[in-house]
Amino acid sequence: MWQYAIKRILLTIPTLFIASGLVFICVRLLPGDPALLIAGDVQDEAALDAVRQSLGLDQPIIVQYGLWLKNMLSLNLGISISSGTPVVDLIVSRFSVTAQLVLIASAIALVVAAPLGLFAASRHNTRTDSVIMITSILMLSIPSFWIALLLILVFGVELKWLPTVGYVSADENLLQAVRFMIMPVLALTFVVLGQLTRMMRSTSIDILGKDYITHARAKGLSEAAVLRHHVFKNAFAPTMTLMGMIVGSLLGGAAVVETIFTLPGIGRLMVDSIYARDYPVIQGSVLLVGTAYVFVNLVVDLLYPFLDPRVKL
Amino acid sequence: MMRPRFNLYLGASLVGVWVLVALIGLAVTPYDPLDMNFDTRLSPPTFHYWMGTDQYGRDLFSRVLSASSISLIISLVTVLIAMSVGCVIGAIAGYLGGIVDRVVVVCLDAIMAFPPLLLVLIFLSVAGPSASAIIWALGAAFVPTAARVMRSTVLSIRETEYIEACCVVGSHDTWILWRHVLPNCVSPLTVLATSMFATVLLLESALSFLGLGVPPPRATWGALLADSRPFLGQAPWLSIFPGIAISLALLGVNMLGDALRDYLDPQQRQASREGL
Amino acid sequence: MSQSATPSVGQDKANSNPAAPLITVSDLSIGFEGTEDHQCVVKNVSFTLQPGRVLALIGESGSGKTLVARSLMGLLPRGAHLRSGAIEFDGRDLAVASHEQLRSVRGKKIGMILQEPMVSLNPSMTIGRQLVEGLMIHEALDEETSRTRAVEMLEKVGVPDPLRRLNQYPHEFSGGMRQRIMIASVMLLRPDVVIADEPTTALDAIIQRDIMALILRLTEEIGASVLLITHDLGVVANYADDVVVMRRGEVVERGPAARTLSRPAHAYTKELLEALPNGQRQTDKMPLAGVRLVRFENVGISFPTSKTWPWSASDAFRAVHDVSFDIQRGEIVAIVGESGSGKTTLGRALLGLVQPSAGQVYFNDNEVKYDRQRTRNHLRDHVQLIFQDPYSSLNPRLKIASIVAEAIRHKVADPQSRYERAIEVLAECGLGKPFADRFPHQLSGGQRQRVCIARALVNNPELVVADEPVAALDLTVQAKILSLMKTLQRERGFSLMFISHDLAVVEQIADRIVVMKKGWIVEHGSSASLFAAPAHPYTQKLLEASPFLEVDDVSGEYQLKHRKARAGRAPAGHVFFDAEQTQQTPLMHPLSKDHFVAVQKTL
Repeated sequence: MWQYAIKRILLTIPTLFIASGLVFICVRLLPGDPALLIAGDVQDEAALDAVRQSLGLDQPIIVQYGLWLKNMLSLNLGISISSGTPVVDLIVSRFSVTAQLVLIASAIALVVAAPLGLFAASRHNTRTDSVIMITSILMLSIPSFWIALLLILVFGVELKWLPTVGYVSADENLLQAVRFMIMPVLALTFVVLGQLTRMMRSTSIDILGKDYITHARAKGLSEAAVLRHHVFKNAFAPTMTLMGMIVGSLLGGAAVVETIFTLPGIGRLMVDSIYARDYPVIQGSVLLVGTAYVFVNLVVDLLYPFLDPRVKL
Repeated sequence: MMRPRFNLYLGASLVGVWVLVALIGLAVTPYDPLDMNFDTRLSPPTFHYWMGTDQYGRDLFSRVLSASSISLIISLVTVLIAMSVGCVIGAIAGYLGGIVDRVVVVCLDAIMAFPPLLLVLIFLSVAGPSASAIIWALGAAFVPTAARVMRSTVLSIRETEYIEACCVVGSHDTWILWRHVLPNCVSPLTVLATSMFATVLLLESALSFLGLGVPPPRATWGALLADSRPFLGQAPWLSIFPGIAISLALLGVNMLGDALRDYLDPQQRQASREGL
Repeated sequence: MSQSATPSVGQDKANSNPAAPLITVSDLSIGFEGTEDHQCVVKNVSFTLQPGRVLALIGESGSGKTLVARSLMGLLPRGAHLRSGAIEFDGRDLAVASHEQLRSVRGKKIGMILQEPMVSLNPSMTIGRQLVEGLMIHEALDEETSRTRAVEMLEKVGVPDPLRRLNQYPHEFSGGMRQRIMIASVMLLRPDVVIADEPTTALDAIIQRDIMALILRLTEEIGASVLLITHDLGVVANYADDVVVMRRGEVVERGPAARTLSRPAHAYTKELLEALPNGQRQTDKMPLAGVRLVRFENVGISFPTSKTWPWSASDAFRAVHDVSFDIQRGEIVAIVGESGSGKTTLGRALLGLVQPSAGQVYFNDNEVKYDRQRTRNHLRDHVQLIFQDPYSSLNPRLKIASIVAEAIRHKVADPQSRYERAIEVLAECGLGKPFADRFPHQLSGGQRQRVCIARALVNNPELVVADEPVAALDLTVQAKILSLMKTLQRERGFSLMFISHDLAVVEQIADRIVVMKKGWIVEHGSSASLFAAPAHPYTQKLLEASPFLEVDDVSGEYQLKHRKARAGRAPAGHVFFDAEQTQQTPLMHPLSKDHFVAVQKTL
């Protein structure tokens, strides 16, 4: 069992390595001279050179990469060019905001979607099933940023119940934090709910046609018992895998929702830093997001054997 | 079964309407979408302006119409690019196996670790925003997905007995790939194409929303939504209609994709069902 | 076709009771959603099940027998519905019973053993839980008591170390063990009726008898009736009291087993019986020229199992150990063994699809090596393969003629002549011109296998390897395909390596037989000597597993017999080779000029 886990973990290392290399190259490809951006309208070459030297941009590429790798492994990701704060602190604080948003939204979606999908499958070919199925396709077809706009329109502008922009950390004031987070979370939950329900439903329908379900029914189990004990666990595994993928991609892809609600999340940070050519921040945040994605998938893979005992290798 | 038919009809009609609208929108709209008219700015939907007007007095309906063609073209071409490149890579990796496969998989995984939005952003920052840059950027971002799916399809086909039969009969590898493997990939690839189409459309809208889409004054639905933000309270119709358009288009593609999947899968299962 | 509700009583069951039947099925019709009434897959089926007796429902694929069995418990697959008819059980009509009523009957009164042990158990639940589930519902027992009962039953069905294994998952058991667990699960609830839906079809020949005997023993203990769904006439002859024969959804004959099988009234029943091997061997063959075509010399084949670490040495699974034999030109050699015997791997090695890890394979005195392309180019004109599964060995997207023509693509440049050649060969195999432009899914199993044969023969190979070519086919179709292969072999004179798990099937076709177990050859020799006096206990067991048909010359009665072999004796200082152990290697002991058996030294 442990061998599987370790092997899986080891496999992620080359992936991360290549990913960090990709980040480095892509960032260097961006046009625009960060020295200029910082120094502003300065014409003096010597001054610009001084700036470059302080950023380490005058060294050959290989040296820069080597330096960066070394620093990365010791968690020194440099200083943000735009704000001057250490990159590590910056991306960690931003990431925790995004993580809260994504994890809460996904958890709510999963808790609702799993029983809902199962229920729809049990009522396959009836009107209830059609309604649930169409609703879930509808939900996953609507862009989350439009939901966000609509929510703001209804709750923020018309009813004025909730604040439309801004963020308060939960440490400071829990009630206020919740008020600021409700709409962003809802916007994400909406779409994820549709995706997870659809997956759970179709997997459950597949399982209901299998021989071991016939066997369970032949023993005289009630339909509820069959669903609870035999279908659920087997249908949940692929759904959980999907959720892992969704969480992983949302961690970096919630940029639009973060922008709409001006949440200090890592997606928005990435977008802003690309505009500002803030190399260290771009590198650090992209690396963090990529690592998080790999990590989430790893966790899902490691949890899988608990759901499906056949997977043990 | 009623379900797939319903999916099929509704999905196909929605997509059909979209294509029709896009084709029409290329040629004729009630008003010129770029036509500004400060007298009628920010007016709600009326008989003259079916969806109302924006802050420059431009007719929203015409703008939505013309945006439909742009969105359709961008998404379609992107999917074509991503699938052509991705499928070649995936087929080679899947069929050859061994070290080639291993290397390709690790590279693909590495690229897929990044949110596509990000990849596109970086690409666009290098190349500058323009319709063709967006298409290439999106296409490149989805090549790994297409490659992965193609690879796993080819892997599973490679293990079938009829491929083994071809080896026994003495056919060459290229012949086998061309004549036997690829035709059997059509079903899963069709399903992939429709789901990728939906994702690309969504991503393209998100990009436009962030201001990185096709440069103004030509606009896609996402850009229309972005423009509507400052006037959310004043002119809610500016946010509602483009959103409905995106949602309906996505709904149509998703339903069509589901119906195709249902249609293609049982057919293969039916072929080997015998003796109950 | 008799429609009597109470069939005549058989003479063989001593405690036969003409009292009320347990289940009465009347005019049962089952159809799929969206089809007309006349397209029903089961039409007007009627029969009764007497208490304490075994009723066999016989039919080939498409007969509807499984649907009938499922309908008794209200477990029809999605889309299938009862169109009409009644199922009387215990004073109730199950055809119109409510869901709750059906549930109270399932498991407790009527139990069902399913066919495929690999998929009939929930993979993510321990077998202990699956066993006690039914008990806890129907008898409201607590977990402790239920588990004790489950352990007792597992012992009864022959699962070793039951207490520990209760906490294991289905995938940790072999197919035969899983079927035993399924039987335990059904018997635990002590039902009045046990429906056994082809319970042994998915298992190896020798295990089949054990499992069948187990089922019958346990049901007799609890006094239950058995409804046995099967296509295996040997099982029916041995165990059934009454018989119902179904064909294409209708009952064609019913009656006591003994009478129906010995004096069948309906033509179809006769056809089924005559499809069985009849113990006759080919005697009209030309003697062989004695030219050696194929030689296996100390061939061993291993497969690496998955490695724990990329750098650690990989464990190897040895599929074939030290095999040596020859095949002559024009000879038919049968390789017989159960799953895991290595017979399929051996065939693949001859085709150059698998690399031997020891020894050599020679074709026409040239060594056959595994190579992606080069060997294939050389071998393809000489050796061809017929696969076991006619469904998956044909590309579903190509027309029949194209599939066959592909085999001569490198020889015949002109597509038109290729097409014509393909049609000629297809006709030889019994498929006329209209079939040429059809797709595989439009053909039946037997027809698809004919296509595979045509594909193998179109290039005029000198040797054909047939890997269980009839195993996936219905009995009546099997007989036709076998006779086709015999005819073609006689006309064209190719050598045939016939791989099979059924010794009886090869008797009518093989000149020589090689018996394998766990990768070793345990016995080989000419067909005549092997069948006359099988020496190795494993060969004897295989022989006893399949029935053969004898027709009495005088009365015309059919008799299903099983061979009974006398225990062979090993030469002094030796015992017969035990393929299960790994210490000793076998020695081939000659019993006669053309009959050898594997022995090992006594320790």
